[in-house]
Amino acid sequence: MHKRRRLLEILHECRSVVVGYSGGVDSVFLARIAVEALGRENVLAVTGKSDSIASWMEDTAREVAERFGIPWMELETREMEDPRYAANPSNRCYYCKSELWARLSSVAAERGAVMLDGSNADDVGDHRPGAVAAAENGVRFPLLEAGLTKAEIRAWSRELGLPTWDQPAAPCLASRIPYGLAVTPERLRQVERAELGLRALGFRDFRVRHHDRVARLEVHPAELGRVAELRPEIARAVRGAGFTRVLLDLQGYRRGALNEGLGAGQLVQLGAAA
Amino acid sequence: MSDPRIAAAERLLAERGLPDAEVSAEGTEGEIAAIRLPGGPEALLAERELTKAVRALGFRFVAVDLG
Repeated sequence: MHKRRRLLEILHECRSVVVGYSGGVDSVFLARIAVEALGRENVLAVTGKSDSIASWMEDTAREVAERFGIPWMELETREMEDPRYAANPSNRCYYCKSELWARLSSVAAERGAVMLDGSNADDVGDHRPGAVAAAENGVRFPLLEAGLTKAEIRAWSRELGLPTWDQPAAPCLASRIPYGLAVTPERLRQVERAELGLRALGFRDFRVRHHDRVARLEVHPAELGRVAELRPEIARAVRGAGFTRVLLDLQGYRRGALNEGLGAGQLVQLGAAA
Repeated sequence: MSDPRIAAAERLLAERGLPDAEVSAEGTEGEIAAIRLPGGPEALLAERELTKAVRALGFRFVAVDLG
């Protein structure tokens, strides 16, 4: 209970907030709690719009905002025009989030608001170069500061009736492209199309990793049995997205798989709250 | 020049009862051991130790062709 109280204290300290709102579990929860704590007039949830945002995330962001009375807007971001981002280095997210928070800064400044990011306590130690960009732009991390874990956020989300309470993690589409392989609108569209195909077949927790001509599917172990049943349909859906070969990773879906093998010098880890 | 990892992987799979398995190195850096099994991927789906052994040959990922 003290974590919940602490979160509300942090929000009251901020008084007026602009939430980086992806439509994922954490940012939806944060925006909803902010409205409850501060009132609609003091909250604005903003979704960055670019080729790297999956259509289903955009839909979730909009629908949940409408349903729960969260003031919401979309803002075009242009990280794709930054060659440092497009080259897809291991700190790609730094350039993406720098663009996002820079654009949100002017929105926040007009409102006299504090910018908020939905990182949580379980993100500490993860490779999070985007968090450096957030910190450079004066963004606060209320969920992390309050010590809330993902499980606690999901439980509280469920209490609030948020449909995102059990939503799988949903990083942007660029996360499907291995570091060093350029992020292009075409590759992002291929990933989105392939993943839409698998979603239409009922898969929930998976990734289509883009290895140029080849798609490497990571499917949650709980869903592997269905892969065998639906093999022709899966292959058709993924080839239809423009891949020439469809492979199933035998280790299954695991969060951060493309960060495996990063050296200590390449990792940018989110630190614990002070 | 042939990739020695491929021959080693095929030998390993043959020793484990999959003599018809074909392996190729896929991905921009040949980081994926891509296995084609004539009978379909099912024979490999639960083979954690075999997957680990193929990875140990120098691949980052081990994957089976879905056709």
